[in-house]
Order: sequence, then structure tokens, then C-alpha cells
Amino acid sequence: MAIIKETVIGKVEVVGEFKAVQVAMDTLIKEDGKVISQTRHRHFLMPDADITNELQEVQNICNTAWTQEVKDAWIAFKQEQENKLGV
Amino acid sequence: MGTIYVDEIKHQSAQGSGTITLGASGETINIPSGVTLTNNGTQTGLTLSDNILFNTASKGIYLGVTTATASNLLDDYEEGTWTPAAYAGISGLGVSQATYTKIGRSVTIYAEVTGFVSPTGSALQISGLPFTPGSASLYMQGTAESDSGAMGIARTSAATGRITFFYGTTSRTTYVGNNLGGGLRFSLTYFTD
Repeated sequence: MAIIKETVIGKVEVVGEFKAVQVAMDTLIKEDGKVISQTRHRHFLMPDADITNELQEVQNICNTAWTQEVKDAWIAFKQEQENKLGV
Repeated sequence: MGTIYVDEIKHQSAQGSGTITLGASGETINIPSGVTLTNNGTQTGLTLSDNILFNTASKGIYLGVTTATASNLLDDYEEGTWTPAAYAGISGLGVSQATYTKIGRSVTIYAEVTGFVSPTGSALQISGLPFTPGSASLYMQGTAESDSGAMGIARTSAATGRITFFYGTTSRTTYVGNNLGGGLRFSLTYFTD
């Protein structure tokens, strides 16, 4: 009976006007190759995020989605909202 | 075998309580588009003995309507964890627990964070939300309680993707890192796009 734990990408989505990249990582517990438990952990990345610690697959998606135009639009929106809302 | 035309298929016992098996494990029973399954008995509803699993992602159930209306489609449910991270007011924190539940486009988060590192007099902000707040989430708010006893409001922002905390008793006065004791608990519901 072999029980192993592995973490895999569950889903990567590019959403919204500013191409936010939502990443779901699934932790799987397997017994003899059959999944007996699964949990999901999530985070998201906006166009000005530091992605150096992300998986290469996620970095590739970010780099494709985040054109300079998208980055500029995000920075402008962010500044506008921060001026409006304060912190 | 080709097509068989019949009006009824009933269990051989004709007692109304037998089980009729269609196909075998792993096989597909194909129901053509437009077919309606109708319960014409005296009992209400349809009883299934196991979970429903769609063979295509992002499919759901139209609730409360008899036509396919987008605003009535429930096509997403998810539970999981997230990692609150220090953004401002502190330089680090520990996470006792941080969970989320997403129903449709509504996301409810809960977190208990402790052990603030290097708290300062700056407004406390925490990042790491599990989903991107949508454009309608500019002012989505929840509640917060710190170890110092300060009760307040947790507010997320679509622009920053972060949570900012405000005292509940004064006008938009932010929590600051060095006035919260060692930890904070908060919950918040916001919408995705």
C-alpha cells in the first residue's frame, strides 16, 4: 500500500479586462494510485505581480496575457482607483 | 442491434419497486437534445443515489426557471484555502487558517492570521485573495477583530486585489499594524466578474 502526496496545477484562468491570472493548485493524496483526498489552494496574479516564484507554466501564461498595453491599462486603473478610494 | 421502438419499459416484477439497469459501468447512455425527463408519479422530485458529475467543465444547473436564463445558472462551486500575505503595516504574518467558498461569482473568505512581524504605524493591508475581485467589488466589506480588541471592517478592492481594514467606530480610520496585538480574524464576501 503506497500513499503519496503530490501538488499539481488544478486550473489556470485568465480573467477580466486586466488579464488577471487565477491559479488553482491541487494537493492530492493517493493510495495505490487512487486519489483518496484532494484539497485546492488558490491565488491570483495581476499584471504588475512578481511571478519569479511561479511555476514555469504559469509564468508562460502570464507573459502571454500581459502585453504592455494590458500592463499600462492596469497601472492606470489601479492609480485611478487608489486615488478614489485611498488605501 | 439497431433501434427498438417501445412505449414503456418496466421492471419485470411489475410492482413498481424493481430496479432497471441501463448500460454498465463506464458506458454512456445517450439522451438526445430536447428530450424531457418527466416525473409523472405522485412523489415529488427526482432522487439520485450519488453525486452529479458533468463531463464538461463550467456546466451547471438552471435554478428556478423553465428556460435557460444566464442569470439563473449556477455553474461554479469551489472550496479551498488561500494564503494571506503581508502587504503593508506589517512585514510578515503566520496563517492559522485561511479558507474560501465560491458559489457562482460570490466568494466568501475567512482567515485567522497571527504573529505579525515588524508592525508599523502604516495602514494594514493584506494580499493573497483566492480570486480576483470583480469590478463590482470596489467596496465589498466584511468584519474583522484583532487581538487588541479592535472591531472593524475588512474591505477589498478590485483595483488593488488587497484587503484594507478600518475601525468600526470612526470614519474610515484604518487599522494600523502596531495597534492590533499579535493577530487578526476576518471574514469577507466579494464578487468576481
